[in-house]
Amino acid sequence: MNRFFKLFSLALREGRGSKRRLLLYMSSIVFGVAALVSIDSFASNVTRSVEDQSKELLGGDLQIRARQPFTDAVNKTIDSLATLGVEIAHSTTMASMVSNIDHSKTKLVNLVAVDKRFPFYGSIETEPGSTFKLLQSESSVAVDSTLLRNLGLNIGDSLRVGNTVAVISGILKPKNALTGFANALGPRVYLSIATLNAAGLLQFGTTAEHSILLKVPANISAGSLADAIKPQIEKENARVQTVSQSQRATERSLGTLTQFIGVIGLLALLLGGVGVASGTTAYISEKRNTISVLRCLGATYLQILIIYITQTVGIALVAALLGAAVGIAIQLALPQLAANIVPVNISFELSWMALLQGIVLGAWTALIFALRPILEIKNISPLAAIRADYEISKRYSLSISAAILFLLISGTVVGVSIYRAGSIKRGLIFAAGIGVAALALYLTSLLLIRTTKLFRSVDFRYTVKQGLANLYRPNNHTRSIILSLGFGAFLLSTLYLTQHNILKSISVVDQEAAGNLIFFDIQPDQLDGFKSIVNIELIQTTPVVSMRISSINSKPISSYIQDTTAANRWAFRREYRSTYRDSLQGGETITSGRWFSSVRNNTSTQTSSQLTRQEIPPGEVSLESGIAKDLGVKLGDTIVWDVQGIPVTTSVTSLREVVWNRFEPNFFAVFTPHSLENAPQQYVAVARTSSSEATASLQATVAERLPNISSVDISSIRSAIEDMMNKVSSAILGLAMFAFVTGIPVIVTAISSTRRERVREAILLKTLGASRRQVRSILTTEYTILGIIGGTAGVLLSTVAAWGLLTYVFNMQFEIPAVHLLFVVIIAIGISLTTGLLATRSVYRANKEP
Amino acid sequence: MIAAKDVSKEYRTGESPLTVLSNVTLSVGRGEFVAIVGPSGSGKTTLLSLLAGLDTPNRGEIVLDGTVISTMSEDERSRVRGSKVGFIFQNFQLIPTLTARENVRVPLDLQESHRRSSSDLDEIAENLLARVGLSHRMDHYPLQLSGGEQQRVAVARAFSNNPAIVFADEPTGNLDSANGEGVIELIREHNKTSDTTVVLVTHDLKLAELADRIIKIADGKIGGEIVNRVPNDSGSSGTMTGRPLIDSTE
Repeated sequence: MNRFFKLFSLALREGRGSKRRLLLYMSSIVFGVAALVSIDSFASNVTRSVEDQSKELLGGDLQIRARQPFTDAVNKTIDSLATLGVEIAHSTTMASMVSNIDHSKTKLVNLVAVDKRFPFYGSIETEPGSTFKLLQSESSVAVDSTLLRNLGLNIGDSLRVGNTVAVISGILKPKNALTGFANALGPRVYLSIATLNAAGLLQFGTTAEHSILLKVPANISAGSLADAIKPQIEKENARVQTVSQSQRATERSLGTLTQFIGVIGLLALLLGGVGVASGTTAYISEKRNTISVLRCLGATYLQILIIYITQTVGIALVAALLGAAVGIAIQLALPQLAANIVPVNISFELSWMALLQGIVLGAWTALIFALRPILEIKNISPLAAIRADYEISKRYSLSISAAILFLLISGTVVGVSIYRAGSIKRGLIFAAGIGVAALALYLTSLLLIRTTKLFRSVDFRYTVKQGLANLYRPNNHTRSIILSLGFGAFLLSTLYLTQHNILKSISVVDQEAAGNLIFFDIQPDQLDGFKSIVNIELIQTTPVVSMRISSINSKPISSYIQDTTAANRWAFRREYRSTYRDSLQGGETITSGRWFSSVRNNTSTQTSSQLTRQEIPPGEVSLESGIAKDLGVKLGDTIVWDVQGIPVTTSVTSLREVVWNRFEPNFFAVFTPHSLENAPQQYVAVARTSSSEATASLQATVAERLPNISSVDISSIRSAIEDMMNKVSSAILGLAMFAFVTGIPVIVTAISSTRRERVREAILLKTLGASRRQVRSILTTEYTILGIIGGTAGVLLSTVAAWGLLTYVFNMQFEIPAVHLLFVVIIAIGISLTTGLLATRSVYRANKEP
Repeated sequence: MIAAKDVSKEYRTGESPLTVLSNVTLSVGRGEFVAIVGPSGSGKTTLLSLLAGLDTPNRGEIVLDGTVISTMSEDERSRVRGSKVGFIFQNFQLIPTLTARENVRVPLDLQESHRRSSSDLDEIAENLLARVGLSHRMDHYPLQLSGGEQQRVAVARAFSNNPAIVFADEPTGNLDSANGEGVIELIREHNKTSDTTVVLVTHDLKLAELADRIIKIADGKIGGEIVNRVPNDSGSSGTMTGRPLIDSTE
């Protein structure tokens, strides 16, 4: 009989009575694997759903989009495709105000005007089902049900859209409604192009997106057709998008989300590993006697290692399988939770890859974290079998094995991080983050051990003194508990701090803003009428002129577009909405150069009457510092702008820092006063109203008299952002709680590993006259301190992490909501104390040794 | 069979060393049944642990079956124990998660050299259990057995690998007198039938009387020796060497 088989079978036989206990010790890995499997298989389902639905998301094989009506050249190119059998459908998307018939209630919506061929793939599902077809034959609209709620309307009621009135013939099914933030800002309204034209909303310079969908015959490749027409289309400032591009864009944005929550999954798994280490220590401690007997009976170190590694791996696999099952169960619930944040319908399909990865990673993590306590078997002497009082001595230094294990664990963390992050750089940053957090928490626990030792001679009450002493006793579990509680608190509080500060910055914007209502798309001839309506509530009107860059330092923009990377190309190609004025705004500061001087204004800039179709002498422009960097432009450089056909030459005289999140119109390029006055332009206006009723009334009046003017109420933006943040963060906070909850089995197993000594001490104390209450208060002291230190360390770490995130990633002010962070510490204490006292019940009740 | 030559053992307790055994020399022949007696703390368990290769002396050497084991590594000593040594402990030390049959099999499972099948090993275990009168308890777990039964399983286990020497550490310490006598009888019977050397450590003089020879140990030194009988084919005598046993023990 093969000797390994014999050992293997001995391992199975020896472990059979301990299966459940070992499984309990490994339970922390269940949480980790559950988090991994649910997140990964959710991500894979999302990717697959995006693939399946991307044609439907785009509606055709190709899409051509532009911010302005298509030029004749574009139309000609598209028309020529008809000979190839390419079918065409038009649509126009814009933001606009709609209202009920008596103008008493208004709402900013996302209008989508479509022709009868739209869309080629998928369908716009409505209730009743015929609604979408009816759009083309009569003046009707299909709306998101939230709009009906907002305006208090029903199907069959009339809706004012610009200058026309349309019948609400049905509602959009959730699949076709906009999701998340977009929907919160403006619910979607479908109408025909004819109805949109009747509404008279499309005026010169109106912000709208024009789109042509193409359905390409099967014998032509959509990709090559896109490549063929791209140069002509892009020359006309329009963009071509294929299904795969749209798919990639969707996947990218979802990828960021799943990567972020994937990080939490990995952290939960690593915490599970810490739990496994404590659990295995407890298990080996329970098996100490058996191990010493086996050694007496002739077992070598290797044989014993094989026996206990076999048992650990077996149970780790069972735990990983259990975790996978829990993960699948969670995965079934996730699509419901994610329905509001993801733009596709997610169908559930078991992702074998995610399942396999979760199980393998879970079992591997459990193994590498279990190895250290298993290697400690070397220190269990056969002598313990004949001497009951024989204590484990550190006869062998495990420094080499420990170093190898450390490398294995760090290698795993780095490898898995890189694999999951999809890039070496991001993976390394993430792994380094985990490393730094783990190191900081480890050092905190060492500091705690050292500090409590200093209190040895202080004259505390006995129970407090003994509770403190438990923190630095031999084989104490201070490190693993601080690590697990700290990581849980760290995650929870980082997410909370980030969310708090983002919401806070929005409300600061709200308070600091000059106004609370922004009107846009005001035509010059409407300005006087608009001012008379808004009257004293009007704070500011700002002219907006659309333009593009035609050359920089005499080099045509096309050569820049060819030479630059895709990331910056946008800066050269985009349409700029610029303004002109003589002073800086509240949110602007000059970082270099100087603001326009009045003297220079008078001498070097053209007066309004001179702005004609001839090139005018150089004026001045102030650029936002970020865009100047993207364009590679510095002070003194010359930029020629194409202001709707008229070249305007400027010299860059200053660079500005702009606080973009202030509720006021901000611009990349600001021109000298009057230089653009005669250019085709629109106005944006800011008003302040005193109450939400006044806001609604003003919006309604403007919508009635000047229907093409749209308005945004800051409180609606804030509530939209808050709503979205709450949805995302409740999903993420749930996952962060996962990491916190993983701390529970870590504490339970850590306690089990010192149970024998604790019970012995408790009996001794009771023999010497201690009451059960006193034994309990020793434990209370111990776990309260662990909770306070673990929670506080995690919160402090998170403060640094969130500060970095907000300052460098979100560019926001950072403030610490002390009371709420205290709450996180209290949760940590609660988990530590409750779990600690429950798990040690048998200790303070003990009357005899286990 | 086994010999200790000028063996000393010290333990470190704090700063000062504690000498537990000092220059002990003894030898036990093949098939001999020797009892080592002495009061608590006299060093008898330390002597057993050195003889059995569970620990190594600070000075001197232990020779088992012609091989010096005191200089071997821990794993080498484990292999020697696996093939040549059997153990009977005071508190039985059966593995709680294994049945009686499986417990008896453990030394055979751990042996790397032989190639017997699992059913062969079961058969060996069953025969041994039958010899100790436990045919009906083979599939019981230690917790389901009485103390006497557990120790009989331990006896069967000690002899399962056909050892050259069996060490018994206070084997009756946790048993009533009837069970204790039964267990000693079994050990004695195995000793006679299989020519296995037995080294019994006890503080019970009555029990020690059953041995061929009694070695008395006190304060870490050999304090005397009584030869009750010459083992097996060597006949018997009542020779006493050193100080009389009766005078020095109680």
